[in-house]
Amino acid sequence: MTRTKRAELLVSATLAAIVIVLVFGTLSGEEAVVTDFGAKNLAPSVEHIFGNDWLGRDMLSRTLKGLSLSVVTGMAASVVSALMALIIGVLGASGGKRTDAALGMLTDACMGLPHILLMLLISLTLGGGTYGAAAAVALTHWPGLSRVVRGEILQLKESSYIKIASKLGSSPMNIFRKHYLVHLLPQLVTGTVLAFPHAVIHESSLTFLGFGPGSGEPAIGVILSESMQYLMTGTWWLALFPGVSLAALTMLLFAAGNSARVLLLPQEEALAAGGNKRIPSGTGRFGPAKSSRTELNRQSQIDDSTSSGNAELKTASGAVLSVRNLTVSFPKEGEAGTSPGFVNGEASGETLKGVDADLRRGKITAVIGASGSGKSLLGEAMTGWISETAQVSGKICLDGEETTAARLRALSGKRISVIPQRLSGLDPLKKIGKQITRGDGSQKALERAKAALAKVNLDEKLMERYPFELSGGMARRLLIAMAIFDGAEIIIADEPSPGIGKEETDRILTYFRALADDGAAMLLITHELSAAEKYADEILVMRSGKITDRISGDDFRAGRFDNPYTRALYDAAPENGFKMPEPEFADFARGEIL
Amino acid sequence: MILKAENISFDYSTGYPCGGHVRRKIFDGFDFAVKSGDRVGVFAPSGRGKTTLCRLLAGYMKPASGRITLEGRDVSSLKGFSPIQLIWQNPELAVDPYMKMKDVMAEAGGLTDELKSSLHIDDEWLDRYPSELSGGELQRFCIARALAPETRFLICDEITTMMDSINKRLIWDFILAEAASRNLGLIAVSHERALLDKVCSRIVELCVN
Repeated sequence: MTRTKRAELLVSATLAAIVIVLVFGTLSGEEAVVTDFGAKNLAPSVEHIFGNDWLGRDMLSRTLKGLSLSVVTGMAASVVSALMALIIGVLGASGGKRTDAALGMLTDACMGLPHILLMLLISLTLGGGTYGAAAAVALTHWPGLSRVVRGEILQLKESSYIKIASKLGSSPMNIFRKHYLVHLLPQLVTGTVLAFPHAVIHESSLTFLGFGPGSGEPAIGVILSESMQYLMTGTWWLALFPGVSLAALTMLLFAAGNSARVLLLPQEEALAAGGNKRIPSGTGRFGPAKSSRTELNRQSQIDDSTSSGNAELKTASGAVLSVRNLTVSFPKEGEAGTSPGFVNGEASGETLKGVDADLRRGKITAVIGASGSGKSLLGEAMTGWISETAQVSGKICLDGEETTAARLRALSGKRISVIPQRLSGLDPLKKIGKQITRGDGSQKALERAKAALAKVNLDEKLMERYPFELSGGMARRLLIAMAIFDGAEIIIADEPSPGIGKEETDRILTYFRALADDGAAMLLITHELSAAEKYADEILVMRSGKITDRISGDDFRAGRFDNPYTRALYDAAPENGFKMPEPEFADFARGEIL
Repeated sequence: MILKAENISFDYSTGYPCGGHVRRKIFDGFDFAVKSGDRVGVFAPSGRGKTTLCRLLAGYMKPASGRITLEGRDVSSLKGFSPIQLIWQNPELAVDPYMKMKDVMAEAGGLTDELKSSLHIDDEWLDRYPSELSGGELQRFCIARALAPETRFLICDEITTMMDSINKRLIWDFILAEAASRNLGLIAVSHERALLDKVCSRIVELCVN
């Protein structure tokens, strides 16, 4: 079952449960209070499913009645809470500094006091009873949500698209309606629904403790607290069934609250349907280890029967890591009608179609080509970190022997390292030394970290500093040091020098060259021809998932290449003449891939 | 029309966790002017304030002192659709993730058939959310959005930095043609000197203080 369908089912089941509770609770008004001493203390039976109490009252009716009371209170309380959260959140985020501080203090005060104590105080102040308990519940469930609202607004205020909207002439009212409200609504609705079970439980607790409706009313709390006196006499059903019903309703409401989120955020659903996000927030494209990746092996074994014929294993001499006839595609099944179900690279149809590539010791292999041509996908496959929705066939070999994605992943950070495109892989709160050694404080690790830093010309004193104290170029060098800390022999770099200027790119790549000269096998994925031109030993030119050209670095530097696509790529670069490509190479102009 | 920055200064102050802060001067008494039809390149190494300059000129931020004016009127006080449009470096951040592309374009007054065909935007993409498009596809929407009929000055902040050479060439071909036919003032910001040499008629270098 898909996420959407499961969510829809849960929400409808919950709604149905609420309706049943409300309808029966109202209908069974009489039965719940009518006493019948001829039928007291009856154990559960077909006639009285939940049994009867010491006054001969039907427990099923009493439970439903009690639940319906809790549901009504809970619903009112959560709606009031959500409104309060919205108002307080909006005021806090858009009012002045003082308003914000005052509201912040109020929120902290509410959150700081034990919840039940706060409710008791409010309920007592308002005179107790049904009304007092309801008000107490309503007035204490907003702080969490109001913080979410405030935080969301503050973040949205700084977002580029909201600033752009105002430059496109949108009025503040329209911006509030089309951007802020759309972002806040799912939070509010989810917050309301999630506050609902809390409110139900809290209302029951208050009643149980005697601060809610009086003993005459069949509220769940009253039922439970009264049943305590009779438990000793063996009438277990008095507490069990009402208690279980309350727990079941609460859990159903929680589940529905979480499902509401799925339904309200269709684009998150789209992301989920496309498998995991291709760009995890951690360390750039290759990202942190997650278990939700497919084993390359599983698929390749299935495909073995068909592809072993043409995927003959002849790894080039000196090759450490090789792929043969590697084919990767993403099924564009998607959710019927709602979302196309593919994301990012997958959205642009990035695939691999029978790619052969070798990484050799001491060599830099560069992969160039248009975005969406499959460069990054090749890197992902070579590290074993490939999306779980991918269909993979072909072989991957380490030291000339076929291996699996899982085994490759187990080596990541050790024998195989990735240098990410983004600096976001650096933890701003951790000292640099700790980040390089990954928390290993041993003398040996420290020595190795110092050696790694020395390789990229960074002072070992930096180990005691934090990432924000580094310039952009130093941070990139740090990423390299982190990659080589554990003696990686295979280094895969996906756009290691994005938009950082020629000199800095040059500097980064000299370190790459030095690492390769020390014996590392390197894969350099880049769209900057100049980077590949200067330092690569072999250049693979990719287009639409295939390697259309392979040139040795020396031939490329000497201009000895005649593949028309490579030529078009080369000539179109601003430094090589900025020549307009022939229409057949203008993939973008043909509506393909940009 | 003329877009002018006169004697502007701007600095960022960076606060440190344990108190104290450092003021970093980005601009001090900086002058800059672009006329309709001009193609000005702004070249600087990273961290030298290129993006800051773009945001100041487009009226997203105000200088600490000095004036930035369009035909004598302060750019940050312009109301309604701004005739100075900025195309941001990261298209993923420039589009509301909860809006379908057709609503994104509606906010900018709609997408003309002309732009749609010259930027090769698929009709089918209009019904998608940004997360369902690639960065390059999104950037095309952002370019289309900035090229509404009211636009007079176009500021391009590293818009092709993450593109390969062929796509870079095609995008600039389109932008240059559009700028020429509509007599737009064009400001191209990049760390790639070679690119600016090709697309601009004049280059301003932001040097290290």
